[in-house]
Amino acid sequence: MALDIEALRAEAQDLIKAAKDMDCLSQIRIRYLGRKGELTSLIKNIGHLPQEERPKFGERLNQLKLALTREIDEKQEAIKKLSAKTGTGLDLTLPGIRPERGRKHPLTQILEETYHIFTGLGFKIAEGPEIETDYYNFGALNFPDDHPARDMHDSFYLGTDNLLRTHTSPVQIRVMKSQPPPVRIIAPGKVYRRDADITHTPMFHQVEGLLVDNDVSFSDLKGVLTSFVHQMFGPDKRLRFRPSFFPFTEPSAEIDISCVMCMGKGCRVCSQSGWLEILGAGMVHPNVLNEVGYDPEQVTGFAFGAGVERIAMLKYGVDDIRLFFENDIRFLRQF
Amino acid sequence: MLIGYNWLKDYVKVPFSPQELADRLTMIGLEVSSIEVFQKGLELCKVGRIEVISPHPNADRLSLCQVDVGEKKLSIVCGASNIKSGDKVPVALLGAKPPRGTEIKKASVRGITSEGMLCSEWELGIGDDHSGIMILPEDAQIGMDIAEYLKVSDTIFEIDLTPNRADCLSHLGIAREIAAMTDQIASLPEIRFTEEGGPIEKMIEIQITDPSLCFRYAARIVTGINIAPSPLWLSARLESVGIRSVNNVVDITNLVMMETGQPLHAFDYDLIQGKKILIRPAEMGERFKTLDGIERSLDPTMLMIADANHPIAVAGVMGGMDSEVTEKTINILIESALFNPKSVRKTSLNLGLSTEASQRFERGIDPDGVLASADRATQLILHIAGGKPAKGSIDLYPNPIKKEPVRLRAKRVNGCLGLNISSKQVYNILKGLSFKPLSPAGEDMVFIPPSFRQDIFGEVDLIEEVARFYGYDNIPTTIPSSKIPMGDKISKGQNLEYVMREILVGTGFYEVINFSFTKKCLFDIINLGVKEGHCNLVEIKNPLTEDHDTLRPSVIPCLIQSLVFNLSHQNRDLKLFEFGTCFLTSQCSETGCVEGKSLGIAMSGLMQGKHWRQPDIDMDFYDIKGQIEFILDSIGVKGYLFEMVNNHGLAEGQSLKVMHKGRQFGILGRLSQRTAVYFDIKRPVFVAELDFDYICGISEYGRHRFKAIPKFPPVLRDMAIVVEKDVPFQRIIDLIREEGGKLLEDANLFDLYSGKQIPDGKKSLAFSLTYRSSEKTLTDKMADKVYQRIFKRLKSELNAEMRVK
Ligand SMILES: [Zn+2]
Repeated sequence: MALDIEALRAEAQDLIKAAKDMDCLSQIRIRYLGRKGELTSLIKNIGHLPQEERPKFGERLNQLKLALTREIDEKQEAIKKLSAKTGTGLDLTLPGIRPERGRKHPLTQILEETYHIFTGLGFKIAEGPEIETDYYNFGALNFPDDHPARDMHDSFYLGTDNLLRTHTSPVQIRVMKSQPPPVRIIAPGKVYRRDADITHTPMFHQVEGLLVDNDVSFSDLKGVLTSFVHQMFGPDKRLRFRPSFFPFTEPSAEIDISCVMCMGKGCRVCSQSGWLEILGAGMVHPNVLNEVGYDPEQVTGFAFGAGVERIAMLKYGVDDIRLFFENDIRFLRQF
Repeated sequence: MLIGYNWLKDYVKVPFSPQELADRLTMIGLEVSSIEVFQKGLELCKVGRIEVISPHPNADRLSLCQVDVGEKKLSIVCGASNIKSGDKVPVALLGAKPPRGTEIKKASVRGITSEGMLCSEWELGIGDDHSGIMILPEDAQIGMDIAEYLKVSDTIFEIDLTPNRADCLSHLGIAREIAAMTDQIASLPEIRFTEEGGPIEKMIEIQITDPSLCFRYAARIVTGINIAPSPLWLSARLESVGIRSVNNVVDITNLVMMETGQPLHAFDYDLIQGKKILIRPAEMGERFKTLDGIERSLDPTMLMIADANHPIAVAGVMGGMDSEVTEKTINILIESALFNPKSVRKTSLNLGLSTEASQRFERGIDPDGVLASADRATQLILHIAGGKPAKGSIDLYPNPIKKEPVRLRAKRVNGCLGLNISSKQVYNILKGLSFKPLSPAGEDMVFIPPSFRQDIFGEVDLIEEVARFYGYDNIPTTIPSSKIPMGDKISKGQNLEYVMREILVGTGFYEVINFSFTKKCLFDIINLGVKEGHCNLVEIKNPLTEDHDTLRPSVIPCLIQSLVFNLSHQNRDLKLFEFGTCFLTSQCSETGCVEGKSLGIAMSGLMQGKHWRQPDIDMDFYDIKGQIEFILDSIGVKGYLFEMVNNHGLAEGQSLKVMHKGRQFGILGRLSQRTAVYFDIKRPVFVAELDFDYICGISEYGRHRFKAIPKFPPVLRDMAIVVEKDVPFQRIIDLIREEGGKLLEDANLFDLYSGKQIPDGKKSLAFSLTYRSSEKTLTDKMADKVYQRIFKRLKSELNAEMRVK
């Protein structure tokens, strides 16, 4: 019997020494000290011993129990200390298993943000065809035939009279022709111009807006666009409205914002001017209102338009427009 | 349009610095996009004074000068003999590149270092004298730029002019705007000369055949002139605005054009045959050699200037070689005309020839300035090239253009701009801009626009003028008072597109955007177009490149290109999607084309990126199929089916079409070998395309109805069967569902196996079946009964056997 105790001690001590984690250690604890453990079964044997040996045996067993408990506790502390660095047996420094997320195209992200801003201002999103007739793309928008104003829009032709829209303004015409005022829409979408260099791609995206009602004024245009710019680029941006020309608006304006790179101090991006051109706008030309059957004496309106790529480039600091259409994952992943 | 800052001062006082002027012009709509200093190649050339001159120690004919150039003193070796100490001379500093000569570098001349160069007139490009150094007058200021000293330097603004402002294609035009902002009147220098020659009517006969094409034609003749290179100031002025100097007469015509905006042309009078000028349309097939040396074929849409026998100029575009002013010319005829802008534009487009003159005619020039410009040129020619002007001038103006008066209501100004300014202020702004009031300031006013403003037609044009000069920045910022119209701000389709994007992005897909056009031949390789009933591709008549000659009928080829681009940049494991418009021809549309939106998907590589925990799993057919099922289920598309399809772009036996009520609205599968080879892709690629417009029509997204949560517990049973390998899963599941009836809530395939323990030619399928009754708690017995019924059916119809474990 005494031998049994010593053998058990040696066996248990070896196992405790070899134990590497808490699981292992708690198994050892159960195996030797548990209610159905090895020590308990030895105690059950006590009845087979002569009466006089029993107390001694009991005491030895008790000592063994105390010793093993202490050793297991010590080992437990040691493992705990070790695993403070490496975890409870797990290597906590391994990377977690992350669900994979894709990305919306940065232009989509800008568009969705634009929708959010303008629907909040009560604008409805209107869409229209990308293949247009000369009438909707130019004629109805007060572009005279054979006029240099058309040179601003070098078009792709599909037939003598059909072309890929050069702006989303035809959507404004279609909406106004389909309903009486008031109109409060934005028209996002792809547009096409026969242009390709570092700053131009033959296809790009525009968002245009239109508000026609009684008593709409240029000051309202300033208000709406200021709200848009502040939400899109931050309330610290200053705006500058300066006169420009579009056949379908008058007075027309181009809108600059204080440079997002240098905060208006002047840098390479803003050609040292401190300003970045971001929107074109103006009061809807009476000829356009007449064309769609509205009475310019009764209603006035404003229209505006911005290039989505331009907004994205300035907002995200992208320096080459072509990146948007290469669709390199390493580019898309950044947004 | 290039405008010289100093040049403007000939017509108006400019009380602003160049930068200030640029800002002010920009804020009235004349956007200055750059400001550059022009020095006619004389940068780093300064006025210097020779302090000490001593012989070169190692060379007899050279001397060594100590030269004061203001900020420092230089020691310069010089070979000329006409200099002495105290002389003021032009000095080219290190780094200078005088117009004639090479860049000045620090050099050692016979052992002595020379830190610059003293210049002759020839080196500065001023004259032909290179015999000695140019000696400047005593009053020349040491350190001053030579260009400035010679008055050939200027600050040049590049103005991005909008096409409506034809009047500002000239220095006088810009000067008028400056005058309006500073309460001045801009004007040309006084024109005065004595007409010493014979009467012009005896010298030339001019006739306009069609007054609708040529509104006004004026001419002057000067005899006995001396053609020579232009004086420095003249050539420098032209060069400063980007026009090459030719000779004094041609330069003067160009100078006046840059001054007044009126294009002029000088003919060699002696080369005008029959002393007759006819302004007529060209004859069909008539040939003509323009000044640029190109022989051109004409047609009757082009307006020509002709003499008694043949054309001598394309009206408003370019003159001809045959009547060009050359060094032999003695007598000239100066033409100043007003051609129909549309006619000039058409001619210029048809000839593919756009010139400074044609650009101005197209935009519209000042009808009242025609004769004055001819007179101004005559005055300058007399001054610079000598000669005698003929008595009088020709001025054919059959139907004088009258400016219509324009009404302006002060209320409209304030209403349109959101202002509250007085009618007096409105009145004053317009008067300052040379609008002639026909009424006093008041609620209702009438103005006649100045002749040079071709862009003023109606009230709104006047309102814009008021806004420009009141200042856009001074207009308040307000929130529209108009009511927001009722109704959804976002349509069902727009919302669905948003939701589908969210789903795709959430499952690891990247959105791409490609051009809507691509090359036609791609569609011979792969065309998954899911629009029914149309077949022809829409071609672009004037594509930029062959790669962009066709509008895409399907987004897939472009998506594959995006995939290929990424693969070639070592981007693996790709899941891409694109929402894009697709185009096809159609008989029944206004434009002959139909367009619609498609959702395209392309994927390749590992289903999940490489990871330490799990083994790599390559995507296969079931991933693309599952993705489509997932999307359609997520957006409430019900009742869709898959059917086999043959599309040569996809691999046979690995492609399906997606159907709804007998109509195809989608397709999916693995790229065929042929397609993969064409795109040079080595790994399997899976693609799918869905007709988004059709999906919008059938999606029940957002129309969920609540169903009560089951009250009674389910009974779960697994069923493993063995059937012939070629029995399709769909057959089995259909039978299970049919036989299971109402009590079978769900049947889910959880294992598919063939191989060891399964006889050859067979496969084992394991389903977990969920039984439930909505009326009571199902007993095991009842469930087993259904189980047996299902199995019996499978056995009898498919010869299925129960798999024994
Ligand atoms: Zn900047």
